[in-house]
Amino acid sequence: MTRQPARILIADDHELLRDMLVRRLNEEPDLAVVAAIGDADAAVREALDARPDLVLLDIDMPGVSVFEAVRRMREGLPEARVIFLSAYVQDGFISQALEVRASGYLTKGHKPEHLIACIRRVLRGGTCYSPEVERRLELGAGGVRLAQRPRSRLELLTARERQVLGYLAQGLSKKEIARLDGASVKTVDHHCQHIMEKLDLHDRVELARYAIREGLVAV
Amino acid sequence: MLFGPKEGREQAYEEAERGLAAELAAQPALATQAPELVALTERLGATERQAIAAALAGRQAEALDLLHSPEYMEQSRLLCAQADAQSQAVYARLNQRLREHGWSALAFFTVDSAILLFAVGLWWGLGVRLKRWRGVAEQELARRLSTEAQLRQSQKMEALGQMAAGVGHDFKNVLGAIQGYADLALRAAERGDLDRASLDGIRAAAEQGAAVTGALLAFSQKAGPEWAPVDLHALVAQTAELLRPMLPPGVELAFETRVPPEQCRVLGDRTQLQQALVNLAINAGEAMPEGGRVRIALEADDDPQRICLGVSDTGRGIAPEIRERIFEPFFTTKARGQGTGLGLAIVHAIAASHGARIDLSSTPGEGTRLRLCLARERPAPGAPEPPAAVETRSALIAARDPYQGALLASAIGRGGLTTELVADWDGLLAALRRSREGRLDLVLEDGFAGRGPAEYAEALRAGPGLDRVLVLADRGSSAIAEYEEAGCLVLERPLALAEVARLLAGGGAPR
Repeated sequence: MTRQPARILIADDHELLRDMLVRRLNEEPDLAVVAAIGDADAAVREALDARPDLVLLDIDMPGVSVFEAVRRMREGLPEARVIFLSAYVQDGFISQALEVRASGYLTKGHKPEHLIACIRRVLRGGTCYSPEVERRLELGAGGVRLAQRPRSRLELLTARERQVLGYLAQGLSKKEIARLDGASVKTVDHHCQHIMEKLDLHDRVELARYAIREGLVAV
Repeated sequence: MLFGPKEGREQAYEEAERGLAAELAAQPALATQAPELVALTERLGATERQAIAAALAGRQAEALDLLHSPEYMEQSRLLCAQADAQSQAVYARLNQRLREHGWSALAFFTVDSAILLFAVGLWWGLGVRLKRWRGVAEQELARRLSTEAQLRQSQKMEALGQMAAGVGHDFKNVLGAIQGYADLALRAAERGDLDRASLDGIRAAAEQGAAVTGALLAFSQKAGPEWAPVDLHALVAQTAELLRPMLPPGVELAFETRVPPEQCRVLGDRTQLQQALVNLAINAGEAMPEGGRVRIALEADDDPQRICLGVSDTGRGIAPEIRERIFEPFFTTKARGQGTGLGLAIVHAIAASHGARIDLSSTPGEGTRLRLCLARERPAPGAPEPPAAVETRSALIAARDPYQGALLASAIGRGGLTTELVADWDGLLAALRRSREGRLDLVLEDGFAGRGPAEYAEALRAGPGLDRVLVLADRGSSAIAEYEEAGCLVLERPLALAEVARLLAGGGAPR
């Protein structure tokens, strides 16, 4: 039995681009464009009517904010997946896309093949964020969010790892550190390995220089 | 008789005044009240001077805070109260002295009125003075804010105007090419032919147009600093195209790099760095009205952790006496109306926000070189080129929130690993049992499936094929020590998604 093609709604106010996307996506046997719209209000109405599996939305469109449009769509179509398209990589857009749990945020300018690959990944339950968007994301206590500020590699170390790094920088052996720390040599060994991995530094001299630079030990 | 002879009143008043003066002189406490008033006035004046200075330095919020601070209000109230008390004291003592001479208060109505008017006048005078000071401070603040806004806007418009000219030129070429190729393709279609070359030409022209708009968007979009790894090599190459039409005719633009492109990554705000480069280059170009050479270079620094972005010119050089001032806002050597004096000030501010060092070397008559030396960023994980044909590794992701898990999987997958998301405890155990062959890493979120460290340790024994276990936990969680004891690599949140991907992509020692 042939599987039904996935139903896609495209909303983009750039007519030339929208028509191109319709033609290109319809060439794929597993995809079918069920509606192509030029503004966000109509996109909500059409989505509730056509009930697509996936909605492709340009962020900068006339009408209601696209993020609000997604919220309205979700009231009647909770399972529909959403991919945003935008010429901009703006923090405000990214955080709103995360708030509405968008499956993708792609910057315009990629080849159509890239978009098609993303659509398929999202239809399988994955996500597809452009690398330049993904680099701005961080894991917070409440889930994935927009990075608040650039973070130092030192923040990757746990409190004990920082302590062990300080000892290493002072020239202590693993045995001495284990005695000071009240831990087994094996545990200290694990700490050392993890510190090196996290900091991407692979000898004691580099570690010592790093620790001094970060103020973990006095010179 | 209510009023006695005029001479008698004058005489009594003069006697009372003399007595009061003697009494004031004899009482140091009274004599110190006037200096206190003066000191209080001076303190108020000092606060207002601070407010004006803050306003001139652009710290308008600080200025308004000073003028509305509880200390300032309290000092104003004290000044009025002391002035009032002083006049009351003088009035009371004068009245007492007059009474001692046997005159009724009513008889001295005119004297009382004069003293009262004096006190009111003093109070009113101080009030007017305070109001005037505050008005002057606020007027100056508003004037400076308005001037700064106008100057910033004029510089932005100047830069945009220059850029629009360059972009317009590029676009004319792109559109001309598209129209020409489209015409050719249509004529071929009318003959029943397919003109593939013309279609390729249209596509190439569109790509050129996209490159121009990409550079323009990158320059113009702004929503506060946005930190990300920046490839300085690519940034300079892209900006050079924008800069050419912005430089005076006769100025040659050259780009040199003495550092491999892969070592040219820094962490910063791409738009701000591009603006710094544009400002430096425009400044260099303007130093050579008769023509010359602007050279943009990426160079190694003495500090191996830094890379320097330098812009040099073959212009007039900077006179030693003004070197200290060139980064001051509004400092300019250009004629009135020809420069805002903000270009290098903006460079300075951007350098400061990036922790960059500025090197300046200049020889009058020979030229100037300005360098921004920025801290290097190590190559980011998940670079577009995945490692070539290495052993396939996979990562199992056990996240509490499936959406978070999917985003993690996407970032990890970009590093070349295959990923599998598990939704619940049974799914995790089943995936671990399947892991007997091949290399598998586990990314486990603390609290997944409502379990804790002890239960995970038990479950992990079911996965002998497991290579490494990365645990995501909240910073400071009490469970961290247990995970560490078990040999897990603990990552405390918040942390960049890209760091998780980097650690997994990097492989590492077995668990």
